[in-house]
Amino acid sequence: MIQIQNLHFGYRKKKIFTGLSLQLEAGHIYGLLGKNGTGKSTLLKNMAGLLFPKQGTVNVLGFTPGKRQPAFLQDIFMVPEEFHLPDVPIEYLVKYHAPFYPKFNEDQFNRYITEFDIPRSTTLQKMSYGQKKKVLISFGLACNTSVLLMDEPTNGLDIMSKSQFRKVIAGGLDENKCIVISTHQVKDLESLIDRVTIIDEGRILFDQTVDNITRRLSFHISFDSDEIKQALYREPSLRGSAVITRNTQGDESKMDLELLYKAIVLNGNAIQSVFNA
Amino acid sequence: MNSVFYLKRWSLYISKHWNENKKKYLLSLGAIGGLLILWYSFLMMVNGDHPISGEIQVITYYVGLFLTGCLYASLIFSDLSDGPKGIQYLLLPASILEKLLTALLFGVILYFICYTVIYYVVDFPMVQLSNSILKTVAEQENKTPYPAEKVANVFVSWKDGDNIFIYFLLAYFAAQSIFLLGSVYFVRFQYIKTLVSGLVVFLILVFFVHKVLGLFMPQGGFFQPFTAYRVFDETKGSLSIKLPEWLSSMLIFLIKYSLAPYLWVVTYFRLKEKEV
Repeated sequence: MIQIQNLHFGYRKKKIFTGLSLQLEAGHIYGLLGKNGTGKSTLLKNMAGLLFPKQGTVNVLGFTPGKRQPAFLQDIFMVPEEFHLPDVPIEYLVKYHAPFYPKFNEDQFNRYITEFDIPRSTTLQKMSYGQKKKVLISFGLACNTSVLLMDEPTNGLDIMSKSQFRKVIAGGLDENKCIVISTHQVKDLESLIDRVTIIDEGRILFDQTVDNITRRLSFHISFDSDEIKQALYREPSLRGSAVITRNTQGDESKMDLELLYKAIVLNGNAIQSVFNA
Repeated sequence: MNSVFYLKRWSLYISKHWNENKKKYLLSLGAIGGLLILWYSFLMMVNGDHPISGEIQVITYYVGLFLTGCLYASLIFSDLSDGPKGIQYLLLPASILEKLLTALLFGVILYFICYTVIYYVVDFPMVQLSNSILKTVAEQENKTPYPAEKVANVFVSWKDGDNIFIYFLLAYFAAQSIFLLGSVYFVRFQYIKTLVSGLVVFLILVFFVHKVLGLFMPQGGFFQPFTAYRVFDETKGSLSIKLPEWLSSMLIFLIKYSLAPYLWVVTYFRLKEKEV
C-alpha cells in the first residue's frame, strides 16, 4: 500500500532522511514514534505529497504522491498536527467537502460527531481546538480513504476524548485501510497500534508488529535483583523496577510502549538482538 | 475521471470556494464601495468646481482597479504560505488546473466584473449628487451653474483611431497576473515583494535596453514603440530600420495579449511544484 525506497530528504542544510526504506500494508494501524525533529511529520508529508523526496521513491496506492492527482487525493486523508478548518457550520463541511471523497459516509460521520460530543449549533472556527480536531478526525475517518495519516492526533484532546479517539480509530479500521499515526505521546496509542515504527536520526530504528514484540519481549515489574540486572532495559519505579526481558516462557504480557521506546532509544542493540536472533 | 480537468469536480470546487469565501468577498466589495463614496465625498468637499469630472472618474476607476485588483491577486494563493491552510488547499481532491481556474474565475474575471459594477453603483449616484449640489449652490449664489458632469465611460476613449482604455485594461490584467504569480512564489509579504521584484525586473530591462544594447547599436533610439530603430548619422542624416510588418505585428500582439496568459501558465507550474 505504501512503499518508500531509499528516501532522501532535507530542509536546506539539514538532512532528515538519508536512505530510509519502509513498507506499510493495509489492515494495520502503524504507530510512528520518535523524538521531536526526527522527521515523523516530514515522513507523513512525503507520503501525502506535500513534500517531494530529494532522492528515492515514495509510492502510495500506486501513485507518486507529489503529483497530487485527484484520484490519489480522494483516497488519502491527513490530519495534520496544525490544521485549518473553514469558518462554516459542520453541515457545510459535509455538504461542500464530502463530495470530493467518493467513499464518504455521512451516517458514520454523524455517529463520530455524536460520540465525540461535538456541538452542531456553532461554526467550526468558534469551536475549541480540541473540538475542531475531533471534527477533523471524524471527517477523516468518515471519508473511508484507504490511507489515513495522523500527525499527533491526540495533542489537545482531553482524557475522555483520548479514550473516545482510541475507540473511534479502532472501529474505523478494516482490511482495506492503512492508518499511520505519528506521535510522541506513546501512552495514548498503546492499546491502538498493531505495529511500532521508531524513527531516529532519519532512519528506521525499530519496526515490528505488536504481536511479535509481545511474543519476544516481556514487560513487567520485577523485584528480583538478578532479573533486574540481566534485563534488556530497566527503570526504577515506585513498586520495584519496570523491566523488559526476553520472553522465554511464552507468557503474554501487555506491551508498555513508553518503556519499549526508551529501551530502543537508549539500548537499541540489546532489543534488536532479540528480534535478529 | 480526468486527472487534469473534470467539469463536475470543478463545479464542486467552485461551489466550495464560494461558500467558504462569500462573506469575505461581499465584505471586501462593500469596503471598496465605501472607499469610493469616501473618495468622491472628499472631492466634493475640497473642489467646488468640478469635483467629479469625467477625467477624475476614469482616474478613480483605473487607480482603484490597479490597486485593489493587484492586492487581491497577491492574496489569492496566500494560503499556501500558511502551513495548515496550505495543507488543506493542496490535499483537497481537485486538480491543480481546477484550483488555478477557480482562482482566475474569482480573482480575475468575477473581481473585474464586480469592481466595475460597484464602481458604477457608486459613481452614478455620486455624479448626480455632485451635479445637484453644484446646481443648488449656483442658484443660491445667483451664478450660472457649471454644465452637469456625465457618468464617464471607462472602457472607451478614442484617440488617433485607437481605443486607449484597452491598453489600460491589458496593462491591468498583465500587472494582476504578475501579482498572482507573486502570491505563489513568495511566502510572506507577497504584495510588497512582488511590487519590488517587478520594479527591479523593469529597471534591469530598461538598463539592458539603454546601456547594454546601446553598446552594440549605432547612435539612435527605439520608436514605434520598440519595433523600429532610428539611426542618427551626422553625414547621412536619420535613418529608420523597421522590423518586417508581420514580425512587428506578431510581437505587438504577443505583448498585448499573451503576457497575462503566459504568467497564468507559469503560475500553474509553480503551483504544481509547491511544497508545504
